[in-house]
Formats: sequence, structure tokens, C-alpha cells
Amino acid sequence: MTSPSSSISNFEARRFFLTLGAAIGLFLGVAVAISYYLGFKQGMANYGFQVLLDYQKNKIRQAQRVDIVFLGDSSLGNAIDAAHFTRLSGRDTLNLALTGSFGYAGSLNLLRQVLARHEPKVVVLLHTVDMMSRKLSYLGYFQTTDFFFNPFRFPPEEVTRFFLNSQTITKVIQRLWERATAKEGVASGEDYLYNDYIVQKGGTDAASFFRKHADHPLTPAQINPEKILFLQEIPRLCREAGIACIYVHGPTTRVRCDNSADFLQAATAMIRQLGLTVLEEPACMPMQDLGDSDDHVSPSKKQAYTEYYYGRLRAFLMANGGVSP
Amino acid sequence: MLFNSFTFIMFFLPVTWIVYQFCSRFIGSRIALYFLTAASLVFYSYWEPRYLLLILMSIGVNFAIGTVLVRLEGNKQKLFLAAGICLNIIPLIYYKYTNFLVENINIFLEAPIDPGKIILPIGLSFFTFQQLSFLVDACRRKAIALDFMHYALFVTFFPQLIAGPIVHHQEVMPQFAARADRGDTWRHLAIGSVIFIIGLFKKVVIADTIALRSTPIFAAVATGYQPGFFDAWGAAFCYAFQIYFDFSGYSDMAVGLGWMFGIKLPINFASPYKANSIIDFWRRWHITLSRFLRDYLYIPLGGSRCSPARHHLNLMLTMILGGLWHGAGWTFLLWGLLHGLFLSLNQGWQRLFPPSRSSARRVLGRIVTLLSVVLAWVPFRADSLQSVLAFYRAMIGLEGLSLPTFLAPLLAGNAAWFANLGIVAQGTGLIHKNTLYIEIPLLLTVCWALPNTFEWLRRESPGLPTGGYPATQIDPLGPGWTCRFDWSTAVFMALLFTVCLVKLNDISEFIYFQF
Repeated sequence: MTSPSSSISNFEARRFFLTLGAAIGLFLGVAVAISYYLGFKQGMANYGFQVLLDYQKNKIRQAQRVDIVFLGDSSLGNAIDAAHFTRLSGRDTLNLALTGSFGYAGSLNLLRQVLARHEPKVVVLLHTVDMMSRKLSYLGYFQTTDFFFNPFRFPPEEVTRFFLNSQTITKVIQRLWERATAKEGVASGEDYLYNDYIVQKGGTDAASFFRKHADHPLTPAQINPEKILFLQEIPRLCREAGIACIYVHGPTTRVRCDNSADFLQAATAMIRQLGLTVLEEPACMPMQDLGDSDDHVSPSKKQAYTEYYYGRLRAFLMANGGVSP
Repeated sequence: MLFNSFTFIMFFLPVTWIVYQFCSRFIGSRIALYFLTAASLVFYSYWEPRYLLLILMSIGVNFAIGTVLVRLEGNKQKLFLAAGICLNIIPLIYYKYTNFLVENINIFLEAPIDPGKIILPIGLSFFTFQQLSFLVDACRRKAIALDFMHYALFVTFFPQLIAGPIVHHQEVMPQFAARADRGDTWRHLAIGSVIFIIGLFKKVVIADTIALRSTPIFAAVATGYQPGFFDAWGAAFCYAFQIYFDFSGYSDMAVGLGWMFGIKLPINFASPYKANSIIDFWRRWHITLSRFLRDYLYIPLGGSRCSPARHHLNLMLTMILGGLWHGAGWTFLLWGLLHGLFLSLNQGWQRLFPPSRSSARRVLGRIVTLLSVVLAWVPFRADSLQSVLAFYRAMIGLEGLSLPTFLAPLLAGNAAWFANLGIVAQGTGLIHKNTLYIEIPLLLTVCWALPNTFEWLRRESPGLPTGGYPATQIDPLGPGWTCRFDWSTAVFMALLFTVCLVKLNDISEFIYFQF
């Protein structure tokens, strides 16, 4: 197979290949550093979400006492005012809402961090109504874990996507460029957060949300059975810690409540099978209560919905020490 | 398992190579070949284990028939050959064409036949054709001494198993039989790695990126969107480059992988967009398929040694079947028909105006060839004949011509007159302006100006040439830019490889994977 005109001997080829290997190692190391460390751990690729994640983690660290913990996504963040819930229940309440992109994995990892520092009495999982239809969030898991994770437990492509990701690297480079040219997106958390959660973008398009939900009802076929992968760990943690956990569907439009009942029933049944108590009926919002998204309560209605959920959870809280006598 | 996946690059390939080398050095070359065959079968079954039985049966039956064929003569031999061909073609027809046939029967006869869900086993088209050539050559006594292990590896060798090249048994079986030259292990690895990395880069970085430009437009047309002139040509050109770099990349990776195991595979792709005629194009694009069609279909039909009418019919038939080989659909048939027509026209043109060395003619020929090929890619990619029609109407200007908005001042003086002709300046549609002004010209420059992988590495004679295909016969000492295996090339290749690994997390597939 050796060509008589070959430009390389076997010895030179070995040297070439070893140089190639070393250079690949070096470049990969840099790429992983940019993608994983700068992109995710330092939050440069997802600055806004990192601000929120750090904010919630700080709450866990700084809380003196935690009786009731709310975990979930933006539908929770916009619906529950923790301070008001504390007043209503007489129990110290934390709202640790992340966003939908973190999925159940984000709630799971934050619960682990809460249990490492505190002894809550009640945990309330409040996720958006269609969460069971969404894709599994491995990235959400990797981003929120404070613990060492076994990479062999997860699909290799998901693990590599976390450590080596072209979109992340591109965003990091963009962010570095913005810093270098003194253009900054969100300079600090001050502009990003308001009233214990992400500030809502101004305005609402409630009519179009209603139309969208009318045109696209949720069906049981849309349930993603893989979603239980992280969710099933939560009732197990609750049992081990001896705390009461309950799952609540987040608020949604009245239209969705009406036309997606089968989906809700099927999702509830699946969640119940994991050992969680479930409050099946979501809060069905009229148009005037909607915020900047189809599952976000308007900021002006946040206290009212806090009271609504307190009312619905009261019996459960009383049975489990979540209400001050 | 795809070549452009972490599982393949980080696990399967290094493990297979290390174990193969260990077996070669310390146990024996025959055991190494057994291992390589087993690894290739693992590679194949990774996608769908149940089709492992299909390929094993195919190997066993074809080898048995081939062994019988070399001993027979006359009508008995023809009978056995016919049986062998049927045993290969029937599964191919069943898996690949049943849905298409039934769908059309249902339309014409309004009959509700449901064939159920039939999944095409990957690589079926390739290993079927490979074995058909073996059977025919066994009849012609061209098949060499039959060794089952070498035959099994010839069919299953993983670098070429799922998407070619369609290897001729005479090309690889002697290589399997020869004792491996251990003194060249690092050389094989280094050269193979370079070729593989180049192929991976073409596929993951270029093809998958340009696909993002064409796919939305084809998808929009499939839902009824009528593209404009620039949309249609832009999407067609983007797809032309997507399939070019996809297939070129895959072909390079296959050859590179072969090198890593000390096996030289045939050149399957030789800068086809540099072709000066359609005839030349088909001596550069999917060379091993073209060779198969020439040797086992076109020539047995009579080739060009018959009346002109029959000659053109042979061309059309060969290309139509070639189109259908690519996919079961009217659009693939149309693609084959178009290329058959182009070839016929080209043959006729060359009879009237024999090829010359004139630069102007060569440049014109290259442009006309490229435009013809791009036009033909439309049915290859489109989902239906209706979409093809929508594209063609736009490409010839029947849907008007909407120029970029910055040209509006040029039309301002006679806007109404231009509007009557269908010419306005309201933007170029869905296609991004960067694609039109930067990406397409840049990729065209790459295709036309740069040497291909085999030319760049010519001193190593990296691929097997094919007789009658001049673009594959590359002079190792010819002029031009060649690869130097020094530290700068190593660092550059490392950079390309890292970029590829980072991009691997984006979703992609090989176009030729589905054949």
C-alpha cells in the first residue's frame, strides 16, 4: 500500500499523529473550558438564567429557616408571592422557581440543595400545565446540580452537549465581545429580577394566547413518557426525608382548561403513579389575569393567585404542618 | 451508527482499531480479519439489530451461489445467475419500493391496500449491488479464489457498508488476503486520520450548515409556498452544495477509515462540479455507482454499440433506474430522467462539436453543466412533483422577479414598466442575503478552485483509481499544492477536528444514509 512517491515515512507519520493527538487534546481542553466553564458554570452563555439560578441558590444558603418550599418554573415564579404565602400560612416559605427550560431536573436539584441545608415540612411542585409534553432537560440537570454526577448514567450525546456545545461557545464569544466593546446585556441582576422573580416583559397578548390554545389543545398522545426520569426522584427524596410533597398544575388559560382535560387527566395519573399527591385542576385564568405569556399570571394578580393557591393547598398544608396553628 | 457521532469517533473506532492491531501483531492476520468482520457486523446492527439476520443471510446465500456459478457453464449457469439476481432484487424491491408501489396502486385503483410499516434496512442498496457484481463476475470467471471470510468482510467492511463506495470484490479481497505491512501502521493511521478529518469537516461543518439555508425553503414550498426567483435558485444551489459536501465528506471518511485499517478503497467522488460536461460529471460523481451502472446495466443493454436511437434509450433507461435506486418516488424518477436527457443531449452535442481545448468552451461547459445539475437537484430534494413545478416556475421567471430592495432606485424611473414585466424590488424572499452574496459564491469558489482531498494527498495515492474515469487517475508527482505532514498540518487538522467535535452536538444525518 505504500506509494513510491510517499512524502512520509512511518517514523515521521508517528510523530505527525502524536502531534495531531496532542493538539486535539489542547484544543478540546480550550473548547470545554469555554463551553462548560465559561458558558454554563459562569453563566456567560445564558446570562439571564444564570442570574436567576444564582439568586435562588443564594436564597437557599441565606434562609434561616424553611418550612414550605415551592419548586417549579416560570408559571410558579409569576403566580406565587412567597412573602405573602408566609403571611397567610404562618410558615417560612421559599419560592425557588426556575424556568421551563430547566424542567423537572431543575426542581430535583434545587430540592436536593434545600434538603442538604434545611428541614422543610412541605414541598410544592408547581409546573406549567404542558410540562409533561416537553422534551427532557438533561442540560437543566447538568446546569443545576451542585453534586458530582455520573456521566455514564446519561446518554453520551447529552453529556457531550453539556461539555462541548457550539451554540454555547458562540454565545460566550459574543458575550466576551460585548464586554470588550463595553456593550453589556444585563449588567447585574437588578434589572433582570423584580418581586422575587424575572421581570415580565411589558404588555400581554391575551387574545392571541387564547386563540393559540383554542387551535392547539393538548392531547394524551403528546405526553412524553421520558419526563418521569427526573420527576420520579422527587417523591423518593421526599419519602427518605419524611416530608410531604404535592404536585400542582400551574395556571393556564380557561380555554386550555376546557379543551385539554384528557391530557391533564393522563398527566396527573402518570404523576400520581410516581407516588406524588396531585392537585389535578389548574388555575384557569380569564383574559384579564394573563401576563406576558400564556401560563404567566399578570404581576398585578400575583397576590390574588397566591391566595388562591393557599386556599387550594390549605388542607394539605394543615395535615402536614404547613400552616401555623 | 453514523461516522459523525461521538459513539463512533470516541468509542467504536479507537477500540476496533486497537483490537485489530493487537490481533494482527500478536495473534494472526486471519483472526484480525475475523474480528474486523465481527466489528463491522456490530456497527451494522447498532442501528437495528433485527436486520443483522438479513445481511448474514444475504452474505451466505450470495457466497454459496457465487461458489456454484464459477463451476457451472451454459444455461445452468444462466439459470443460477437469474436465481441469484432475483434473490437479491426481491428484498430490495420489497423493502424499498413496496410503499411507493402500493401508494400509487391505491391512487389509481382507489384501493385501500395497507402494506404496513416497512423500514428500509440501511445499506441494503449498497451491499445488494456489491454482491450482484460479484455474482455476475463469478459467471464471467472474474471472481478470484473464493474465501468466505474475505467475502464476508468484502460485504460488511464498515467504512463502506452503509453508504458506499460500492466496492468491487477485485479491489479489496486481494488486500484482505495480503499480509498486512506492519511497518506502515503509523503511516496508514496518519494518512487515514487526515482524510477522515477532512471528510468530517465537510460533512459536519459545511454540509450541515448550508442545509439550514435550503431546508426551510423546500419545507415551505412543500406546504404550498410559492418561491420567488432568488428563493428557488438560492435553495437549489444551497442544496447542491449540501449534497456535494455531504457525499464528498462521507466518501472521504470512508476512504480515511479504510486507510486506518490498511485497506485502500476506490475514489468515489472527484470534484464533480468541475466537470465540463454532464458526461464528465458522471465520471466524477458517485463513481462506483456510475461504474456499476455502466458495467452491469448500460453495457449489457448494448451501451453505445448499437443504433443511435437504441443508444439514447439505453442511456435513459440506465439513468432512470439509477434515479429510482436513489429513492422510491416520482421525483427520483424525474431526476434520473433529466440526467438521461442531459447525457443524450451531451452525446449528440459532442458528435456535432467534438470536445476541444478551448478555454472559453471549457468555462461555458462548466457553467452549463453546473446549472443543469443544480436544476436536476430540485426534484431530487423536493417532496413532490407539485413542489418541483413551483420551483421550476420560479427559476425560469414565471413567478416574476423580485430584486433586492437596494436595487429599488434602479427601477424607480420606470417602476410601472418593470412591474408589467413582473420585475419589482421587494426583496429576495426567504433566502438570506448572506447566503446569496457570500455563502454560495464562497462555496462555488471552494468547489472550483481548491484541489480535492485525493489531489491534495496525491503523493500518497490515497484512493484506488477506476479505469475510464480520468479524474480518479491522479499523477502522484503532478503539479499543485500537496499535503505536507508537518506540525502545521497536524495543528490545522487538530483545529478542524475540534470544530467538528463541537459541531457534532447539532443534529445531522447523511443524505446518502437513506439509500
